[in-house]
Amino acid sequence: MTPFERLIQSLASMTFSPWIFVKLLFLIGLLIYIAFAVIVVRQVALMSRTIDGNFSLPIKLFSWVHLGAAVAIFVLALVIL
Amino acid sequence: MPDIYIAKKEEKEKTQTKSKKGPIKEPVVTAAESKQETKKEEKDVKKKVIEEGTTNPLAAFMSKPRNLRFETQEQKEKVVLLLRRHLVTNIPWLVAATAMAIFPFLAVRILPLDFIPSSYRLIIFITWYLLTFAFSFEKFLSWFFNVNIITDERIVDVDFPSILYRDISTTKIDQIQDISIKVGGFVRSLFNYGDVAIQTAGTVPEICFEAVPRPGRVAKILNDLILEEEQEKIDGRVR
Repeated sequence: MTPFERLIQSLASMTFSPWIFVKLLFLIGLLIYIAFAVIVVRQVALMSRTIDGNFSLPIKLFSWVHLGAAVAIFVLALVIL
Repeated sequence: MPDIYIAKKEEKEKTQTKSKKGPIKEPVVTAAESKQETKKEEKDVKKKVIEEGTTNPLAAFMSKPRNLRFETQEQKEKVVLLLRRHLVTNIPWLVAATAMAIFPFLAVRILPLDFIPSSYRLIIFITWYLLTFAFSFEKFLSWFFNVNIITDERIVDVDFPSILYRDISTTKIDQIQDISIKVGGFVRSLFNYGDVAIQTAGTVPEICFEAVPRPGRVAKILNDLILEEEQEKIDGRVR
């Protein structure tokens, strides 16, 4: 059997699961979400610089927690899906 | 003697004593006194604003807010008023966020989701709540940072139309030409909030404070500040 025939055979015997495609979509979506969370952190820092008050610190903290949660969910999806 | 005669007699006596005293002298107001009066009035305006003051960082009507500074604030400049949209304007997105939070529990009962593997269901569930949080956080940020600031020198309108844009317009108090307020509709009348439109002679023709609480009071404070600014110009105390 030539290597080409072997490749064709392996491709033919491969079972395609739609969930792999879904997993890929999830991971891409979560990556985009992480980028969005980074922008939120950046924007909150900019907003807090524009108006600096008593409540700036908790808001900054929230934005960082949001980014952390986005990264954690991406890692979780990578592991369990 | 009937009482009516006694009364007439008393009136006559009173008029006689008045005529003896001579004409009533009107008080003479000197320039120094009038200056003191205007100063007192200025103090009263400031006092009124301080009395209404709040230290709550989430208030929509903050007079003389403590520990608050904005980017373009000058050293001697004092913030008189900070305004946000009325708290009631947050109700629509709060309702939407609550509906989003409840939705997964209903979806599990109503929709046939058994064909989805449990690991995928878990990730969908967590991602949904992350999106709900992001939606609420964005709406809150939009409310919290879209502010109108009135200082003793100028008015500043800070707008963040979306997460990537920032729009700050400023005009000096002495450039204000006209102030008009609009309070229309049932909810606005009930909660006493509306728009304050400020026509200016500067590069920004109009600054609008949208859906701010107590628009009448805001207009009054602005008018007082304009008068104060004019007085400062007359006295030569312009910064």
